[in-house]
Amino acid sequence: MGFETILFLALGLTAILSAAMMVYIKNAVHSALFLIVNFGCVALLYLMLDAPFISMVQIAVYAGAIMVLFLFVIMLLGAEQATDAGGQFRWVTGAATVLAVVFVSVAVTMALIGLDLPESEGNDPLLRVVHSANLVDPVDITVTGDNLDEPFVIDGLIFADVSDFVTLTAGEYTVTFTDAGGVTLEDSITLENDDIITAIAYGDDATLGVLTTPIDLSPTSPSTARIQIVNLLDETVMLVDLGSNKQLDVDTGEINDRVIVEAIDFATTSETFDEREGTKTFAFYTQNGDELVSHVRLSDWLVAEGTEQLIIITADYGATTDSLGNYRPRVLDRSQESLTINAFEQFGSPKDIGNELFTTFLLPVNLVGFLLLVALIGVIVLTRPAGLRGERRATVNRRRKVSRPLVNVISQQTGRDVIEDVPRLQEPDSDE
Amino acid sequence: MTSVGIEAFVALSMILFIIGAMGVLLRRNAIIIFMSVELMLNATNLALAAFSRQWGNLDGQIFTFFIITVAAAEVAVGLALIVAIFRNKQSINVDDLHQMEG
Amino acid sequence: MLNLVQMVPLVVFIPAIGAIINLFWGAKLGVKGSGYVASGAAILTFIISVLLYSYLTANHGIAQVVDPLPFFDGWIRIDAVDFAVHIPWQFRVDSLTVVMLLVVTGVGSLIHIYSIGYISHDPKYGLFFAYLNMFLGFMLILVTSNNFLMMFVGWEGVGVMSFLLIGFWWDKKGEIGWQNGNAARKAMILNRIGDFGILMAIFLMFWTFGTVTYYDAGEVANTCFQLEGAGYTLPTECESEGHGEEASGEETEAASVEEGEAEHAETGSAAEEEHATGEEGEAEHGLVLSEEELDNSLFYPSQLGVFAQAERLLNLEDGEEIAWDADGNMRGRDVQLGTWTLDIKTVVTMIVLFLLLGAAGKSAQFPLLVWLPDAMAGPTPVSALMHAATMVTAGVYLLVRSNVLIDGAPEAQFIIAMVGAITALFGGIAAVGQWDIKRVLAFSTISQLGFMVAAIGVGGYVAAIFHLATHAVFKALLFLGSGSVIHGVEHGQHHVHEYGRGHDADDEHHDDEFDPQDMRNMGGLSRRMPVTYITYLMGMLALSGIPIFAGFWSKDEILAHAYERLSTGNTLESLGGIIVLATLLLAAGFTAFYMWRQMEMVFFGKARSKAASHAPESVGWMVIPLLILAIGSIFVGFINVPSGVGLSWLFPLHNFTNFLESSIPSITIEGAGGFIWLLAIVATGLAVGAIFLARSLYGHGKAIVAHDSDALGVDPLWNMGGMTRMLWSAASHRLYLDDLYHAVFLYPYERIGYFLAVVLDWRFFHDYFHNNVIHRGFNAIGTILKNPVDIGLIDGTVNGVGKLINWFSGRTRRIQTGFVRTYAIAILFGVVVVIILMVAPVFMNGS
Repeated sequence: MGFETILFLALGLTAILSAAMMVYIKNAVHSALFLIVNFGCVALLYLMLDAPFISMVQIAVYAGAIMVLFLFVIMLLGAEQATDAGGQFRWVTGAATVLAVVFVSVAVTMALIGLDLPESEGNDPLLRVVHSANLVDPVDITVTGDNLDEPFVIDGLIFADVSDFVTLTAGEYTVTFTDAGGVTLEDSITLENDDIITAIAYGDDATLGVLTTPIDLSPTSPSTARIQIVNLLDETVMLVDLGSNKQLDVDTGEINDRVIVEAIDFATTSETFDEREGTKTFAFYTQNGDELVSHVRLSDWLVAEGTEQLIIITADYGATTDSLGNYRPRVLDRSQESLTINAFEQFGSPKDIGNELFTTFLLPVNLVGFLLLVALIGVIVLTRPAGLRGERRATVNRRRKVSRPLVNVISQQTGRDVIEDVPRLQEPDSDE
Repeated sequence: MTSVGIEAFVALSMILFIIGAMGVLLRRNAIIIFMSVELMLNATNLALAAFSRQWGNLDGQIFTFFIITVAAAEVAVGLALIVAIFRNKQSINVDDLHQMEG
Repeated sequence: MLNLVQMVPLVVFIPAIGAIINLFWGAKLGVKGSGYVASGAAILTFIISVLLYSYLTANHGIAQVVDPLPFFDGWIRIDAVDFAVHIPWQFRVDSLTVVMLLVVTGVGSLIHIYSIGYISHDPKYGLFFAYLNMFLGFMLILVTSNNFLMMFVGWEGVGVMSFLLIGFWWDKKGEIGWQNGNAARKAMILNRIGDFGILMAIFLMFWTFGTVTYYDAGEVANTCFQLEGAGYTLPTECESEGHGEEASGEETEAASVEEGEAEHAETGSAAEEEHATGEEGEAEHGLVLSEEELDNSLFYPSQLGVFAQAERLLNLEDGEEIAWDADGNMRGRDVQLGTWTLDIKTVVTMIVLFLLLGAAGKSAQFPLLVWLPDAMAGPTPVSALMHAATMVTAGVYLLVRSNVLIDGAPEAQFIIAMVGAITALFGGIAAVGQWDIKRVLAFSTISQLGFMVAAIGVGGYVAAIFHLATHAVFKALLFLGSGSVIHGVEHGQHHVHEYGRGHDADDEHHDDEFDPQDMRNMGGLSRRMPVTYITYLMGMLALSGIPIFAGFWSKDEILAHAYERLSTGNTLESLGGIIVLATLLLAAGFTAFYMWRQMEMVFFGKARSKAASHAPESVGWMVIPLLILAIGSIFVGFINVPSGVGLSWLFPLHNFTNFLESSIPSITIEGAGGFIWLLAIVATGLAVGAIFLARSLYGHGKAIVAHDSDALGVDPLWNMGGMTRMLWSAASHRLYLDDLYHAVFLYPYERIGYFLAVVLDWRFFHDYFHNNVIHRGFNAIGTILKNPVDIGLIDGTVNGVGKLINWFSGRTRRIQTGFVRTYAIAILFGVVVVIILMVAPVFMNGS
């Protein structure tokens, strides 16, 4: 029984006791004070539940503002000792007790044995495989490991295909690519919790291999996407943003366009970089001495905010070769799969909640704001002094007559003066 | 993280909820009844926060936040109502208010 | 990177500003101010066009695409799940666009200036200048767009402006105003038929290629040209595109090309000697672009524009497939069109034919040409600007722009050649029979547009654009000259009214009868209006194709292209070539004939009316443009001097072809028609002969022959009687084409209209059906509904339901105790029941 449990028991018991006292005790002021104690306990429980922001709000709004309002009204009305006198419906007490017992027994039993929920210990690792090697399609992928009772098989991947994510438990695994011709390609990988790994088969016959690359899913900076380039073309390539004219501007021997990544070697992964959102035109080049060899161009490439793009440039083994026997470079875009995982570091923090509130929940936030305004006006209307209201109503009524234009219309239609026929509005509180 | 499971939090929340409900049913003082309602809301919030942590989904906490906000508005209006009723009836005993009888 | 080419949106923006100013404040500015604003806008666009031209020449003619609104992410954008439409509002600056820009804004500016003088007596001058500027803006959208849809916006815009300006004087009193409005409607309706073609072409294109863009940004239109410019070895397909000129025994010509174009030849031979991607370029530029950068192979075909996609598909073998898009889809020649599977060539032929229909509407080609003569009802500057120089050439521009598609559809190209040839001859013949000075020019315009379309039909795209440019200059000159004549005759008429004697006091009546545009009322104006006369003569000579003048060079190039077609060895092409050659030579003869007939009637001989004898020379605003255009008519032909004429020491040869090469893939310098002496001599001989024939028929004061049948006199040809009279009558009745349309389309339409309106609607529907069926039927049904149904059934039901509810609510209202706590316990009871229901399954499962 650790500290957390003791703390929980202490807080829980205090909360229950103070709640019961709040209901039981006759003096309303004391009731309110007990409720404050209860709210304080709940606020501490929120802290235990990774909800620091809610905890602060609980103390500030509930224990602070709302309870002060309660106390204020109790004192204002002198209701400290307000009796519970009243003889009707005595059966309610008995019925309520029975229902409470049933409710507690059922609900608590359900809570204790009905909720068979898994405990979060970080997310299970995810694995996917990409086929961009010079293998004979279709390729079967087998994942074996100690944690797996039987091998996990992904069937019939063709060139440039990417598998879905496979959820595995942490541990050592072996990924085997087997093509239709019987060639196998194998790599072992270690997966830990929260890992998201892409295993890519690459290369032509001479350089076959498997490359693994992790994905970083932490939030990106505003208005940017995170891009990572994987070069599987047997040359060192550079990535250039061609700009709006979609042409490489070469001026006095210099590239005028923005070079995003200077050099990515074969079978390596570039550093991730943040790219501003927008529709871009990227192009891959290799610099051979003074000649720029262009490989492939990404026209109208959508860089959407907050996405994670893994761009793989590879030779197009899927297509027939050109007359010189070269494979044409190709880009496999793996940006379509979007992932969300839990970043526990800042779960429940004000920043986290604020981010949600002002993005996904913007409309509810506005509605709640509006609701508060309405409540404000409602309070003002409800608590206006009655005497003042009566006086004003009387004066208003004296001034209010049937509107002139309507009378004219009616007079014209019926041919008589209706003013005499229209009863005067009675003053509503004239009988008091 | 915490060794206390969600079941304990949910059970606690249930107990607080039923205590609040009993308060509503058994007391006739309108202010106490109102405070009991707040207690019930609070119990619900606790359950929401517990589930939120369990599934690592922030929506529970967001909802809690909204409930607190709405409760604030509700308290303001409710207390104003009580004040208005008291002004008319000189009483806050809910059993005295049965004009809406059918 | 901001550079000069980014200015291109201004060419649309500036006329728009001018139009808005004139539309709202034109009346306050006064005629001069209004005219200055409009002309200023036109001249500014001209200056921008010149700047764009200089930019393009400095950048080796590499086309630029300008997206003025990049932030809006396209003009039309639909992103559905499996379907995406993305049509940007993009401007394209390439050589073809720049040529059109220069023609439109250059001639347009002069006509704007001329209009200041011409329109000064009309109270609607503000509106007039606003329309002119709006027209200019739309025309510039048309020529600068980078896709067919944006082009269509300009196309429709100029159509609307044409409608408004033809009917500009719709409010004239009496029959004339009515006729003006009719002329406008006629133009509108016939253009709608053409627009149907354009729309169908656009739909087909979009269906087939998924895009309507000409060439996307970063795409290269003429790969061979750009490879050559960058010093690469040319692939074999580039060299074989010589239009088979070598076969026609023109070795000497080819040699002279190489002499004249020494620089060009040097580059070519250097490239042939060795694989020379390096040294030369390296010394100049440092980094060198790879070959793929220039031949579009870095794009998937689906990312390319319409033309490049069509080219790739057309080059495929049967059953061959190529990688099409980034998703790895393949595509072959087959196009799925509804339930049909068509070959790409069939689809391209359909597209070209639909485009031809559109071009026929706008450019007044056979059989949609009947609106253009009537369009002369508009003010003369409008006739010059829109219905001669610029708008009507939009069809020619469209066809030249679609040259890749036309090259891929030889059958359609043959039809284009036929349409052009028929139109050229039709216009030439009909012009002989006209009395109205502007109508002669209108038929002449039709004829010359036929020349251009025929040129496209024989593969002479540059020749067509060349003729378009020269024609714009001299036809604008002729129209403005005729406007000057009409203006003068009208002034003479007013002069006679004010000072003359022997007329009735009833001036209005006289105005109706006197037609200042009728050539029978003119004569001898060369003495009264010397400047107009001289400039008109220049224009007339240019139009007739007399050597040195502009028309000679462009017309000769068209004929040369047709001539070269004879020796390609392809039956269809040879047939097209010979028909076009024969027809155009004949039409050229007619051109010289009717133009000299007009000269005789207007400027020579004696004045045939008092108005003509008092006609004054026009004012400066009108004369200056005439002079500038007259100079242009002489010299503008020298922009594309062909090889072999011996002028290489004076002018750069094939300048124009050179310039246009970057935007028209199929042409090369070698393929640009050389000068063919035989053709030139025959054509010139025909023209001179026709002039002498006209001189002998109409000269020496015999231009109009007095005759009993017409008070104003008759044509000498008619007077000759017999066959000649019949032919002349046919010409004067526009070869009965209008009458044919009236009989085939209008008459049945009127009959159907009468039947629908009078017989069906009025007599049957109103008189019979309304009174007997509807009225009586309603009466009968109403009687039934009233008594048994309404009073018995419905009232009874309603009252019964009311009583039932009353009884029931009296029982149930006791549940409402009014005590809050009873409600609360009911709720709690419900909660407990719900929770038990939720929990029960869990317990059942035994967990």
